[in-house]
Amino acid sequence: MLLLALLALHALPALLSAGAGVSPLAAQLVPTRPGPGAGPATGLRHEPIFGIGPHTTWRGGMGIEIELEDAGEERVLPVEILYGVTEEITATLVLPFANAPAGASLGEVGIRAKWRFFTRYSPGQIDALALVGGVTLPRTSLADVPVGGPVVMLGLAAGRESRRWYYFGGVRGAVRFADDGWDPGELILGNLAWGVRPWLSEYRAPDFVLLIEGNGRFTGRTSANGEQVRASGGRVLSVSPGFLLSIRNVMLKGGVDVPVWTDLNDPDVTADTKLVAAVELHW
Amino acid sequence: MEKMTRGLTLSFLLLAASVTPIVAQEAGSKPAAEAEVVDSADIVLGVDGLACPFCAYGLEKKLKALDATDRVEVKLNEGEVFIFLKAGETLDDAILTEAVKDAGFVVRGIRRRSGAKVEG
Repeated sequence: MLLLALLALHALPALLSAGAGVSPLAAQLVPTRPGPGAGPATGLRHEPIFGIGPHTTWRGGMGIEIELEDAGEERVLPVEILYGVTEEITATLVLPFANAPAGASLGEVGIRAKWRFFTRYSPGQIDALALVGGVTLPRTSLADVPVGGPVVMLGLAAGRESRRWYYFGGVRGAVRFADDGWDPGELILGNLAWGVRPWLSEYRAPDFVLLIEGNGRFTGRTSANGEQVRASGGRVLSVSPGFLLSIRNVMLKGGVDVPVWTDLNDPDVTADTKLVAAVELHW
Repeated sequence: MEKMTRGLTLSFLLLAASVTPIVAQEAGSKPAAEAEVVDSADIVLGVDGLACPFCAYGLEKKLKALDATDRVEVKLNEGEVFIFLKAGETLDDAILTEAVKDAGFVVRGIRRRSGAKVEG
């Protein structure tokens, strides 16, 4: 079964590239893929599903996370491959395969690194702070739709993980460079999360955590050849309940991101509810 | 578009299904009896930061990678790791501390079996 799954994964790029056309993603002026680590982030230990957390993986550890995101007309399958450079630094490669009404393509490939620069250990609890940075390369398959240049993201994440409770907070900013006259607006993301482990299961038993997140997103206006695009930019606040279910080194996670307040510059644009399901394996 | 969506969904389900046997097998595994773990382990590590099973996996892996280690058991609620050594083998404190550090935790204390039970 594992071999079949891996073969299917290898075949995905060919499947997705067949009949690929122009994706409307670039034209979505409140983008759903604003940069590496800005969407559902790699789960290292228990972390927010839609935000970022401060944890890293062990030295030499590897992991793969496959997500399925469904946001309105767009479906994205981000594959993230991570590696523990040290116990405090983890590097992640992000390969988002996107499928939108007008076509499918490999989205913005990204590289992300996380440096956990502060940790405080106590029995059954760990507090941590981390810097997160990444670069996203623009899509290359959208030859006739402007997408802007590379995106550089920098963020700070904090968290407390204990046997019963979880608390996370993070903020990220993404600068999206202009390209060919198309200058996407800047992006700022903030998240707070709270989690609880209802049953204090032991190591080899299934482990279940409930999460509730609050996410905020501000997108600046886009400029085209020096003129601001009217229907661009805005603010969105969302609430995101989710769960994490793990046994040893395998984790299933899922959540829904529900916009509860929006202030978009184009009243005809709506923020989509996003569904995420993911499986993560570390070894 | 529907074909692409089906392809994406099928791939995801295949991967999720591939890990299900692993999950089921792990759920059916019976941990060592608590008395056996406490009394017969060669080394007991007190480890700080042990909050969840998913993160403890790296600790198990690092300790099992040591040549002298035969088996590792983790008790999260006590924050302790029980190490069973291979016959005739030893592990000094520095090696244990380094392995725990590489896993992303810190050692709170080390107890070693002397005679019939762990002392410390």
